[in-house]
Amino acid sequence: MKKFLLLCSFVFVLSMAWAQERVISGKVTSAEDGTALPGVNVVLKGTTDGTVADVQGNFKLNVPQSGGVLVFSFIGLQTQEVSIDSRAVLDVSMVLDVKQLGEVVVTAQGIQQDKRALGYSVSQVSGSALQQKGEQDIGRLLSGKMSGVNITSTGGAAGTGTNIIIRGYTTITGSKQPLFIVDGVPFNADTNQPGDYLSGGTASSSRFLDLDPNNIDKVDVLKGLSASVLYGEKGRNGVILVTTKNGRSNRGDRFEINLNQSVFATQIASLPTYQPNYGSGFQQNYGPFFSNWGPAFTDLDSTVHPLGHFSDPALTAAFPEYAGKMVKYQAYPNSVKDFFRTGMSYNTSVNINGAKDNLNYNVTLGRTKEDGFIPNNTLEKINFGAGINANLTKKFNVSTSINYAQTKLATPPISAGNGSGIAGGGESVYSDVLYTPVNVDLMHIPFESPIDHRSVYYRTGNDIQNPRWTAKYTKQTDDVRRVYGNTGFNYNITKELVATYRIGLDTYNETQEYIINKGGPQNINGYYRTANIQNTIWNHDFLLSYNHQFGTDLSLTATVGAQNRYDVRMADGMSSTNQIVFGFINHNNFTAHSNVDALTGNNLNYQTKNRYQGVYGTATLGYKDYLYLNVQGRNDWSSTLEKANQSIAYPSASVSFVPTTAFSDLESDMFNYLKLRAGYGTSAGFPTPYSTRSYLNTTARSFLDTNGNVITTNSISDTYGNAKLKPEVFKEVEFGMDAKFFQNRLGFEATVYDRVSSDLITKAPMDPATGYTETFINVGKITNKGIELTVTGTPLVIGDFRWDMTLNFYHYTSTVNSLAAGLAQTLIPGGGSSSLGNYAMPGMPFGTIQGNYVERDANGNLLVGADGNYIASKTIKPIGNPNPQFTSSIITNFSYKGITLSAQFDYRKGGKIYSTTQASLLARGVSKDVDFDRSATFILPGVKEDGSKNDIQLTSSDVFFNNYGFGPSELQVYDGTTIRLNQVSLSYQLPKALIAKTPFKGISISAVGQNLWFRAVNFPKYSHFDTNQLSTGVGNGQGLDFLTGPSSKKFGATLGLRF
Amino acid sequence: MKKTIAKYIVWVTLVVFSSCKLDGLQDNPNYIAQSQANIDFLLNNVQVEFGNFFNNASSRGMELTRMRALISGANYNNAYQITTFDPMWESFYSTSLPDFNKIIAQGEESGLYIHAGIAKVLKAYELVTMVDNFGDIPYSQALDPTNFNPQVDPAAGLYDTALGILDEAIADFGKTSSATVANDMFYAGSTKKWITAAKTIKLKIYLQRRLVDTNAKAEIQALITSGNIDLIDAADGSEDFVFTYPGNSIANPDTRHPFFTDSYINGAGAYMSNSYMLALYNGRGGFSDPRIRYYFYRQSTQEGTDVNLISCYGLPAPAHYPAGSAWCQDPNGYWGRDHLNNDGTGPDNRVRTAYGLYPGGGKFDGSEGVQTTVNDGNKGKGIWPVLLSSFTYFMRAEAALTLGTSDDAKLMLTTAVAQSITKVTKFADVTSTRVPTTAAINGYEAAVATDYDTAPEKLQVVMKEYWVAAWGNGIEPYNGYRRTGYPNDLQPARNPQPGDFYRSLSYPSDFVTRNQNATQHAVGAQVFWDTNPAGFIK
Repeated sequence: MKKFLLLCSFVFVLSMAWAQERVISGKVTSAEDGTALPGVNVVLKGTTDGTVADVQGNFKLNVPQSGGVLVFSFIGLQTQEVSIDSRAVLDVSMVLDVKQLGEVVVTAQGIQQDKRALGYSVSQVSGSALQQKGEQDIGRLLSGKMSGVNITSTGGAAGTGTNIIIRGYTTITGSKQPLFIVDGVPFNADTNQPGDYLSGGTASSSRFLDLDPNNIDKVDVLKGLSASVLYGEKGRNGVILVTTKNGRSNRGDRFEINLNQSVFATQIASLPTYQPNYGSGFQQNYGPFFSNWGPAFTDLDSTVHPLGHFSDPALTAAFPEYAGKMVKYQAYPNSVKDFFRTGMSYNTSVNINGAKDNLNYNVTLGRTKEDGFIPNNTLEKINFGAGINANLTKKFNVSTSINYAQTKLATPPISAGNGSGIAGGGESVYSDVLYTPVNVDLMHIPFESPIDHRSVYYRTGNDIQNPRWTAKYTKQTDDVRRVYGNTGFNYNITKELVATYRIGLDTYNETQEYIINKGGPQNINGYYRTANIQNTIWNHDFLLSYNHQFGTDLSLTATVGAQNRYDVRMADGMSSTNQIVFGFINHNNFTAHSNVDALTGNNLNYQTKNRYQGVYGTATLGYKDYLYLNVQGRNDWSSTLEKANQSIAYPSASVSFVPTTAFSDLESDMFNYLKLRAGYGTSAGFPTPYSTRSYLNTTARSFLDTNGNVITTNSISDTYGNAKLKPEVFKEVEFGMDAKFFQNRLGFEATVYDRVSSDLITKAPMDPATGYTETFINVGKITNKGIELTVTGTPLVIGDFRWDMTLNFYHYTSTVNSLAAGLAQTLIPGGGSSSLGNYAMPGMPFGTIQGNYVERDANGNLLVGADGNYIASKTIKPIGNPNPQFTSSIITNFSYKGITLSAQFDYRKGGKIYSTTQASLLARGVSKDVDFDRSATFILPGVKEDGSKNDIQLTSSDVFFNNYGFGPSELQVYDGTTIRLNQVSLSYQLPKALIAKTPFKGISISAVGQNLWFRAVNFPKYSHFDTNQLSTGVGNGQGLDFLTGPSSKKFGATLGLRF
Repeated sequence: MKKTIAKYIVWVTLVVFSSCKLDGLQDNPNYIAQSQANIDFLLNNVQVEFGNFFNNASSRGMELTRMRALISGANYNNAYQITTFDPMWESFYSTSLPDFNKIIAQGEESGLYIHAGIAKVLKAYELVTMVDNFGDIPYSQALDPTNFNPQVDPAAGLYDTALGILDEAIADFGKTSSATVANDMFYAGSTKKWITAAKTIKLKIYLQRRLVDTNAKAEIQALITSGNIDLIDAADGSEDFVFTYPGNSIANPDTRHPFFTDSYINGAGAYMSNSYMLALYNGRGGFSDPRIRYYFYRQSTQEGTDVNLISCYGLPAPAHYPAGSAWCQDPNGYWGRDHLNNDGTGPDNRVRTAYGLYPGGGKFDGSEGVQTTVNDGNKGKGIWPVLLSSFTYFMRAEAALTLGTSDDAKLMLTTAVAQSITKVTKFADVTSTRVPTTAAINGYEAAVATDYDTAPEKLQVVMKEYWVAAWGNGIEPYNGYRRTGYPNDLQPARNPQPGDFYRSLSYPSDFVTRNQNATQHAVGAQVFWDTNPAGFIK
């Protein structure tokens, strides 16, 4: 706490007219640990005479010859009045003011404010909650730490992306991912998904993975528009303000080295419980199929060896030892479990920081090597950062920070599966492994031909790729080299007027590879793609800040600023097919090359450039520490729109009122603090570049004539450029209340908000009969309403024992009010396919899942066809609302002397999930949920087409394969309610006395477990499905699972040394 | 110091904020502007796309007329998701039509009449095919991006529109063009052959609407009047209107025939139709059809007996199947599927029957009974038989029989069959002892003539032979089936009550979900030229 207060110090310099009488000097220190406190105001009571303690905490002041009282004050510290008497030296130690609760928070554009002055909610997470937790992804670490934010992993593989949604969905086509600001400058947090979820998009990292959690000092999250308005359009989805240790400003004279070493193990968090009684086949006949509807193990002695019945004679020749060989028909219950592994991860981080005179500095170095639970899934990170902050003169301050990050991810490809192989054209390590037939000894039979390395598996046609082959011979890599940093100049023009100029650069080069060796049935000739993405953000900010105190009651803080941001992205790549020599990965070893991706059809070479400018202003008027009025405004111009629509202004205002200060009677020992706040904010959304003009498609190599000559084509684009496109408009009101009770042992922070987004820039599908298939138009309206609640409490303090708890609760509704006239629905881009996907439909929750369903009769009874199976509809309708009813977490913390035990539990209520994983476990008859007497027949509940009650008997295979597994999509939708033990940690800080004689200032050890247990209570019991996954990747899709992966669990320990 | 810094700040601010323009960043740097379109490149696009359009339209026809198996449902109503028809709709409207119109406008303006003429022929063919498949479709209100909801035009009028476009094309081909086309993928720049194509499409149009067109006889008579004949009828196939895949190139671009990529990369993909294969296997007069080994390639010449691969093995044919109907699989490894059999797919891709040498550029069936590989046969060098000379003779036979035009129907039929067999057997060089002998070919052709003479209903023989000859083209058989009801011995659906036959395809998802003025029609909805009674065919 004290650190915050210090580094966030506001230097209120009071006028310095004094009478020459005598001089008193002294030092201000912290009562907590005796360190110097710079920046404390020292004022002679009853006068305006005063000074400020310097960086060593020393002060010197002229005071009257006799008597007098000095007032020591600082935000967040208890104000002290000390009589001078006859002393010439006066040292004071100051304590935290729990009553004042003067938490200083970072708000937009780095403006630091007393939290009580804010008319909107801001959440803060300290670095200690993020460091040494065994997880490299800052997004995942923030999960459950605050209300109003929903964070979903795209999968459990190391290094995969994370979806962050703050305050619900507000746009159909635009990005909903928050703005990352690192040390005051924009930081690209894109997830560069090469292609869509069908071809490996979910194996991509979100670029905030390049941040080193160990180097984070704290994270502030601006959720509402009234908080983020100064960031303009880019801040509309909320802002995650990361302050790295490099970006910290003044602290005391000190030098410190922190060394942390952690070791973690990663495992697949859950696997289905497999039934042990039935092997592969259908209708209780044995057959070498995925499906486990074969005979019971007790009913058949032996079958042909999985590799003993190839219909391809070349494969029979490759495995003569198995040809026709009989093997015992039995269960191999550990096939899937043994396919996955326990991955180890090691993280070393060194942090050196200190301060001397007018300079402070920080250097961090971190290295992580993490093995995921999937074979050949690795993540390697190197982070290096340095920052200095210097007061060059009394008025002139310079700070600079530079960071280098290298992130290398390798994983077998992960893309959508449909329960019968992959859904698209790529590869996926998961798609066929979870329903490995119980009688196939996956880990002990060969998976490649000894002759040509091609994949072999148990089907006679060898038409299914062996997952072990996929894991070994296919790969996606992601290699990022990134430099980001900023330099800022602060100049105190007068005591009240400060000018700041800050330049920021964030540039990275991301090299992606997609490797598929030849010989797998899915891409039999092999495929290789390389892509280079260079992304650069140049950002300039210029600010003028003004502080003024009018008399004793009225204060003004104001800032005006301007921003110019330029984003450039250049990408180039090559896609090759038809590998010549197996195993050699080089474009030269493939016969066909193109810059058009053979897998996705995307052009790998492209560039985008866009510029964005804004001017803004904010002013907060404070009255007597209990009433604050803030007005803000910003005007933006974007190069992604045509001139007439480039400019948009958006205002914002908020009020904060602290009754407990205004009416002192109100305050008591029971009731310590109450703040009421209200905010109104607006923002805009600009389109992605190049949405306003149509163009011409050129395909250089479209076809060949009969002589082999290249035929080039031109074609009018299918996308219609809408020159009339305008910015999206967002408006939000929020009301909140903060309260503290029982000597601050119990606190509430509650916020309700209502956000309306309109003129949504929507990729509207067009009837091709118009000549185009899509365009961007401004349509519709979405309303988001939500309640955010955080309760903090300290139920128990007994001596050194302390129990703290935090409860976060978040409920939202996200409703589409209207679309364009005549547009009844639109598929949300990135949310599945038109036949099964997330839709925006007027009157319905955003992202409503539509899919085909079971036909009903007039009375709503399920209709069964002549074959006894449910009749699938030809059309789609809503089959589930993927938005959770609420998400919540409880963080509990016990500490006793140096020992701290904490745990975080999450509870998600509702939110439908279409689950291919679950459906295929049932359809394939592998999970214990379908372990029953299969000789029985079943009658599906429903009526026949003639209206009579259904009496058609079905076999167990038909029931699950044709209906619950692969039948109408409606039958594969489940409720996503989940209880989770998100995190447990136990740490021990060695007592100072014990290490007094060592060179160490501190030694700590901690053990942490992540995602140790969860249960999706409304899923069939034995699938152990984790709802924290998103097959559609980072974007606006939700509630769709296409077999892209179970989550991971991690556990390990960290040793921390402080010199 | 203070002044210096203040100056510096002002300077930086000016540089940073005033010199950065927002203009000039709206044009997409990844594409060229529409004004830079090259008419030859546009023409290339519509020609290449014509192959895709034909494939989409033909596939549905082949499935519905049981030339290839339709296995995506157990009854007609759920056999197709309406999204199946999206590619055809997109191919015609958004991919081709704007380019057709641009070529025509630019061609007429700059005297590039061959460009304009080719675009008109292709456009007219696609337009009537769209009408044949969907009935009423948007046209007069189409291609206006300010109108998201174009209304449909009556189908009959669109037929007239197409005829008008063809007449214009024929006129264009008679003019002197200011330049030749860079790539004529059909006729290598021969305007004379383009005129035969335009006129043959007119023949097809008049024949197609003969049930509702009292002028059909006169119009057709004019086209076939001796001395005036300018149709696709050259016996050497040189006038055939075919789209050619040069094959071989597997990527960038993949120029292999879709039948080849279906059946020769990882075993067979699509299921052949038991019904069609048995018709050819049985042939006529004791002679198997001489084309069968060109049409199909058997990966195994053995009967399938593993119920895991062929679940109907050993089961009796459904009671509603007439005697002699194909069921489950055909003899000697002709392994396909029955009509509307939607059972799960067993791992039989290495044994089921694949597409053959004609027209997809696969392998001639020399009874090897081995699996297909990517290096087989013609490596994907194949064609789409859009309009062959044999088709012209089949159409003339039908016109003679139904309208009383002056042709000798039997001569037309036998010429058609002979030209079809020649086309197929001369498609590529084949060295195999299984190449049909002249005796076998003559025997088959003689049997066609005999069957024609003895048949109570001559049209039945004509339409059945047209169906056999059309392999690779599902458009003409689908139209013919709806127009004439023949062949009338197609294998029934496995389900005795499969519901109404697709008298036209359902409107695609792209249309009904995106266009407010779209109203879906029933599966049984009939196209304007189909005046046959409901339930006429199934």
